[in-house]
Amino acid sequence: MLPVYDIDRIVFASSLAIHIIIASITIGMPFAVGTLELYGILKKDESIKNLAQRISTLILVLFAIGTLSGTIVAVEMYILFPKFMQIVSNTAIISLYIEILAFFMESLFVGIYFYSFKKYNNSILHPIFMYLIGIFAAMSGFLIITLNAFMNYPVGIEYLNGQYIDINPYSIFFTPIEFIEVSHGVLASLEFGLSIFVLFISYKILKEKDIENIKIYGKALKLTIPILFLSILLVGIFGINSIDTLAKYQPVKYATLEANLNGNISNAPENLFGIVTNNYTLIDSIQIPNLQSLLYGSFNPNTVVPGIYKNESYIPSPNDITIAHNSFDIMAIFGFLIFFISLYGLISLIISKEDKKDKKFTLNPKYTFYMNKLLLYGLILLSILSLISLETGWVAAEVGRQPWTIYGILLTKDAANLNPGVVPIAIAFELIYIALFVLSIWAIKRYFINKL
Amino acid sequence: MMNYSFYFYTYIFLIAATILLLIGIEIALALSFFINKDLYKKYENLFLSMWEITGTSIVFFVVQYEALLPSLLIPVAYSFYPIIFIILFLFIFRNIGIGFFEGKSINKEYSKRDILIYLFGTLIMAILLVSILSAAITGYGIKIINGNIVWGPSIIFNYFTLLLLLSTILFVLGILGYIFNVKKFKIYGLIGYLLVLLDIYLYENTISYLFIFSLIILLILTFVNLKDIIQRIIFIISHYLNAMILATLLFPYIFGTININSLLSQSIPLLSAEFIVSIIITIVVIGIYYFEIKTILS
Repeated sequence: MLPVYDIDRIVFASSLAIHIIIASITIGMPFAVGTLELYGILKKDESIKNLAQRISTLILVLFAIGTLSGTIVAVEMYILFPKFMQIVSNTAIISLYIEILAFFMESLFVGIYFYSFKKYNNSILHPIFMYLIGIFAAMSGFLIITLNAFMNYPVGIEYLNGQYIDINPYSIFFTPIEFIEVSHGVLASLEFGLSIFVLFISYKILKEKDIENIKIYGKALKLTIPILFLSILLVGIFGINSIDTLAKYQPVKYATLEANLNGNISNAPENLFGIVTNNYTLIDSIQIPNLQSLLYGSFNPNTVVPGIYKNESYIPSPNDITIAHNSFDIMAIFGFLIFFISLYGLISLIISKEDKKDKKFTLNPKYTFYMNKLLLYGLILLSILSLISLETGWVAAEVGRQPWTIYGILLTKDAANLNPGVVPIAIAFELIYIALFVLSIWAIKRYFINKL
Repeated sequence: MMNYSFYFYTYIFLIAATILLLIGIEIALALSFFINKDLYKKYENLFLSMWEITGTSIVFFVVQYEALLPSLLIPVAYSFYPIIFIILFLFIFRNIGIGFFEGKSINKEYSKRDILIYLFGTLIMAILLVSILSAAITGYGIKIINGNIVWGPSIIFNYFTLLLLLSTILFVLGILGYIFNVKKFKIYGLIGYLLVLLDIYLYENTISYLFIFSLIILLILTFVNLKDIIQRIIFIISHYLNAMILATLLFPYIFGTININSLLSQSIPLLSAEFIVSIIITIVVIGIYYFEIKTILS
């Protein structure tokens, strides 16, 4: 039987996993829809404008579910980890406090956008409202990830009379890992949201038979693929940089993600996948000699990389290392695949000619891009890989910090609600929540996507 | 030095009052679908979009509570988790329903059944919120045993809560009268207020003279014809005034047993930062919401 705090972790992680999906879509999708509508207004293209406005209904529904999942995460964080919230309340709550402002603004602009179709018809103000929805959603993401950066690297607090007290509320925004972690996290959400938009358009093209409608969807794809590619490129750049930051400021976490279990060593191999045994030995992994030291130390194989000493106190459990390390590898490998698919899409979009009337499977990037089934299925695959990367990225980030909830300050087992009575209720609630979420996705498809 | 204790307790109560007002308006407009179609048509878009600001205000309340009362977080989490999960479940039910409802409403595809679901979800949420507010004031049904909070069903089933619930229902009807100027409903608002006064009298054996101001205001609003906009403004001001007076009942013991003065966060820099941010949030949100209402109603 798992200890109560592990059940708290699992319940909270599953809620968070759902919320990340919805929140990321509401960060990315408004930028795609806003761009489409702006294009429609500037080019006086009614068909594109109408398409943007129809798809925007989806954002409204997702916003409703996102409000819900966000509230659930906020309340669960408090119910399942009360000690954590108590410390955050005394130290780093300012980011959550400001996040409320972003949340208010997002919800207000959702209302303004949806009830001003007539008033601001053909005005560029209307798509700007949609951009603002995305900007404030991204601001929420920025503030939440700021709290996460604080959990990884707490600053600006003092231990006084038995409790942690904030001595500088704004220092949370200036941790050395803030810029890289927040940029990487928000961009990854933006990328995933955009990829869901691209998935929707690709799915519609594959299903559609009317060539005129396909052309409209093709135009939408043409406008979105460059933004998607740019976001993927930026996620990659910040992702690579975040590895260096991790090694410098969170060496134990770095070692966990890389499964370096023999202390600090030079000529370190890159460990791909594998399982960590109870005596902290990595088995069943693929090892590429020297690669980790080469990548970490500007191509010098003698560079020493951080590692875990198994006799040290407060290191992650073997299970946690296995989960964090494999999640990290999946994220990184899928990240590369995502990049190559989007690059293929971008090249195809640039060099293909818009004269084909039949959908076809072909590797030839010159074939009309929105008629190329390989690309369309590739884009659908891209969004699935983006989803897995997003989730595994967060699993790696959170499990990789164990056994700490706030590094060096609060252990997860001390943060959790240890009342055994919470277990059955929390599990029952979570099952209902997941069932309702699945039902919502089904209903969104049936009542909204199929009607768009 | 700034008295943060007074400021934040008043502020958190004003947020609660705002939530109650917004939920009241939601229910009143949902009811108008069945009793006054013209009124419903006029304010349809406002009704359809209201849940967004209501939901956000509820989240704001939760964060405000987490930010200000760190010492209360652990005992409440260990004791009230079942009731909090029930509220969360109802919140899921309401939001999923409303999300689809509003999505369908873009093409005016919603039905009477959808409004009933909306009404039901909102009503249950209102009942739970009023019950918690009532428990915070009186502490009926709550005991502290060995430092743990222990509660039972009488947290809801006691005269104070039931009377407060009844007056809330009448208050909702009063909203139709005072905010949307359906004259025959004004009297319900007045009766609802008198019930609140009776409730407080039964609980405290006395009534603060401050409550008389609101009574006079309501009497004027009920029996004197004023311009719509003036009537609305005065009613809303009196609502907030009542909320502030009601907040004084929380002192010095919240839930009847926990000394409220020892709960507030001890970090002065943090409270100072929250003070600044709370003012910015209030000004910006009211400003943009005013713009939203104007946009919606135009």
